[in-house]
Amino acid sequence: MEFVFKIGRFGVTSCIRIGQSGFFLFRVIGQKPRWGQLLFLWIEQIYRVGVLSLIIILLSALFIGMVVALQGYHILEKFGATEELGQMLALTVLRELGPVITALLFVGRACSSLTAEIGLMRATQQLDCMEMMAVDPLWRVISPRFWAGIISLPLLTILFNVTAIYGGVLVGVDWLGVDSGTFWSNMQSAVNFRSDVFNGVIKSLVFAVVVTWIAVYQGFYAAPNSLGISRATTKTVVYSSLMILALDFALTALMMGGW
Amino acid sequence: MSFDHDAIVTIRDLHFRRGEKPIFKGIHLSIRRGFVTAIMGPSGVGKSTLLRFIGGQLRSDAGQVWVKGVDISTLSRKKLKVMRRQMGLLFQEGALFSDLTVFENVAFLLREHTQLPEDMIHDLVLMKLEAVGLRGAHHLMVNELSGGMARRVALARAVMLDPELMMYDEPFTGQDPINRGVLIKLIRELNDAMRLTTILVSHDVHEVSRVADYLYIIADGVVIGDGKPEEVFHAPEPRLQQFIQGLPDGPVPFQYPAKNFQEELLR
Repeated sequence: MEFVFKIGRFGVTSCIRIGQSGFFLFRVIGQKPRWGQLLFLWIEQIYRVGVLSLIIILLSALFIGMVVALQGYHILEKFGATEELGQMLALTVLRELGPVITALLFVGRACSSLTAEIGLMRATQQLDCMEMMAVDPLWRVISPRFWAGIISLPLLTILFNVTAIYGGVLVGVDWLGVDSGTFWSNMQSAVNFRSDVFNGVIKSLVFAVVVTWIAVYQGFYAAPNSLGISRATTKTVVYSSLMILALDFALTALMMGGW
Repeated sequence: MSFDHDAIVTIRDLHFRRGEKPIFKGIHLSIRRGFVTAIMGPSGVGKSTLLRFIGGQLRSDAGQVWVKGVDISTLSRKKLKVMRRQMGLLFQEGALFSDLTVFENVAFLLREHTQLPEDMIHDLVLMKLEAVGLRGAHHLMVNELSGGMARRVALARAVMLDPELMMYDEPFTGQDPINRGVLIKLIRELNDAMRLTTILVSHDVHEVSRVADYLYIIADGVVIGDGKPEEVFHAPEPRLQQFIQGLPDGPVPFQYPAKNFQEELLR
């Protein structure tokens, strides 16, 4: 009987959390914009969330591009198809690796810090203080961070794609000696802007909404103590990573016409 | 239910539970305009929670909290914001925004709620910082301040919009004797010079006796004594005397309720 109670309690709590997070998102998106202040807050947060994530994203992209090219070259070599390296690299990066890896790195670098920062603001009563000063923390704290995440991640994904392809060129063309003209012309003929480049950016936009939503929600409702903040940060990373991978499958199926 | 017309805050029969634990079991109190009223009691009795009720951040299970003649739980979000602009609250740890300088912390409310030009904001902020003795620290970041300085900056920020009601949540906790003296002076001077009404939540008997005009003592979820400090401190109520004299055991037991010790050891 106790087991049934536990399942029931878990179900009810989960429903409450989902409803609460939906209402939370609705309130963040529904904020009346005050552009003068908002622009400054957005720029500040885009710098913290996006610009400061650049180094890890670009370095990772460079190495991932290099390793994909190296692995791809040796596989394609078995079939005598090394001239297809550019095509393989571009499609792998633009469709899958770019959006997914950038989002995962973004979660580790930016979303975890968003959750910890907001949770700490809760623990040190900064959010309560804002409420008491008649300033809505959803407007002043959450909204700029949420929008900064949504703007930054697709841009970071585009930069990841460019850098990863450059890394692939370094290995494939400059080191392993694939013909430069063949490399680029095969890539150009195989890559479709709408179904490959644009769809990859759409994926990253969806990831951006979901992971930033999870990060700010977990921070805002974190228990105001060290254990609470640590749990909230862990939940952000775990839930966001799983959501990225699950959504990636669903979006890929949708975009390829599987559904 | 009526309210006391001389009072800026009236609390009637307030009941509140946190989970299964009852915090308030029928609190009655009135905060008169122009006075410094202290709310005292042992740790964990809900003194800070009471301030959150006055600020409209919590909803009671039963009873009413009237602020300026309005039941605060009935206010819409918009009206509650207007009401909160007339209140100032100094949080226990100051709650300064750690990503802003001292100047920007104090200017925060002006930037959020007014359209004043920058030079006027500059002058107003420096005036408030001068009042708390920290004009020279306006350029510092929050992490460069001592605990006492942080509380004084938070005080300057809290009175920035000249509130009618100023609330202090444990302002003396963790302060050295000099800072305690500074805070007592500031609380008294701000109350009298700005014609505020002050609610001071504290468990520091000595400091409260120096600054408060009126006193409420809370224990076991109810008010167990109220009056002028000298009257309350000499009242014979045992719980009150235990608190005033700082006795480790008495009506408030030293031991947290537990099973029989012998039975637990021999288990």
